[in-house]
Amino acid sequence: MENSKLRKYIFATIALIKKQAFQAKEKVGSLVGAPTTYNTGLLMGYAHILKDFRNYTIALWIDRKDLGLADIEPEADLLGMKSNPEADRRIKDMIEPLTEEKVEGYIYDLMTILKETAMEEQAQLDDPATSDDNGFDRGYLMAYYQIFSTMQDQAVLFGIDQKACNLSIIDPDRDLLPSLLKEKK
Amino acid sequence: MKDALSQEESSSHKSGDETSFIQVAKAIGSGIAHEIYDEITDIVKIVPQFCQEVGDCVEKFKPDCVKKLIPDERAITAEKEMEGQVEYYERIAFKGHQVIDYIFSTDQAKDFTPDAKANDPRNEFTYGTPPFPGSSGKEVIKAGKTLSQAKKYKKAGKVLDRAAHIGKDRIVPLEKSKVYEKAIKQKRHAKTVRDAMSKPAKENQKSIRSHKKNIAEHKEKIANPKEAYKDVDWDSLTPEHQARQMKRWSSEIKGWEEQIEWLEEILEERMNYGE
Repeated sequence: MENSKLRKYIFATIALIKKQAFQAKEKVGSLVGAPTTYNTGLLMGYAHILKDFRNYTIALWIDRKDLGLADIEPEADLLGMKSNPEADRRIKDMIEPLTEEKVEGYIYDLMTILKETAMEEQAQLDDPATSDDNGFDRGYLMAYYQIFSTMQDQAVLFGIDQKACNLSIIDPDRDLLPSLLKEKK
Repeated sequence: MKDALSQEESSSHKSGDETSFIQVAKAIGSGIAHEIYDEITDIVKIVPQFCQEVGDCVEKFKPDCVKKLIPDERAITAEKEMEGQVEYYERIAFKGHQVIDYIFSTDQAKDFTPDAKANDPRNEFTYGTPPFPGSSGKEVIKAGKTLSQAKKYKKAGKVLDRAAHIGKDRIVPLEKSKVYEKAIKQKRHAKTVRDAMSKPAKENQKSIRSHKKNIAEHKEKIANPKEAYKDVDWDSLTPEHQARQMKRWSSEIKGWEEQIEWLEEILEERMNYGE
């Protein structure tokens, strides 16, 4: 499994997403007293999506180290929350050897969850009654757009079957971009 | 029985009444023989042969009495034609009890007539054996004396099974699993459900416990968000930021609850599978 194409793909993709997330944090600087802007929305989006990446490892008993998710606590590292070592201790023996099937299943189910949340956010953004006027919600949805795009671009690079991994469940340019580019009154 | 005989023997020696000891021994021996024979006659339908075998053994000691009680083959055929098979069987079975009484010089056969058995007050009691670890309801059924009683035992066995978590390690094949079918239909957590279906119960229960702790921690965060932050003061965050974070915690709770539900459905399905 160590040299599996799929494992290399997910490891590299997560590394890239983490990098994007820390770049978003640099743009915001400190959150203390920070206004709700596009950038704070983007940062929160990255933090929450990376949290989903971490949470879903538990469902399949995947060692976070295998996916490069052991060295990040998104809410603590990106949003200034307290670290929770107790939660990590709790799952330290909930680990099984990583298999091709597990990685495929992990990406498959995670894509469904991410897509659902993204579509909810998109609907909220399109609704004038709930939409913001400061870019915060757009920034949040943009994190989803960028992550889907990154995952699909990386899949092409690594020669991954996108349908088998459910990566083709969403077309970010078609499904999310129009809402992101829509002018706000 | 050994204890009863020993006590009786010792008291007999003291009183010098040996007759009493012999009578008790006969009564106990006869009672056991009747019970065993009654159980056998309830199971097998070859009573005439059985009686003949008993007769052959006893004939060596009391040839005359057995000949009077056990009918020969020609008589059996004639009698069968005269009455129904069940009545014939019961009557022949009763003769076996008379043989036992004759051998032990007792008078207990009357307790084993079809009428006496039907009116036995013990029928009102339910008695059975709780399933051994790893046993299923089917084994409990075997222990039942009658079909109606066996159904009660099966139900009781199911309850005990549940209490002991027996059956939760059964693996339900994917193609027969309603839970997996549902996950595919709903397009939610299908791969995770498939993975959990191959795990032993204790691992799935561990996942459930872990999710429950996560839920409790998140509820605590919602109740007291200030405590969740280290580098940022909750009150310094904008209402939109706060609302978004609250929504996020609630959504994580919902996700774990959903996972717990799937895992519990898997365990439940295993309990009911194959019964």
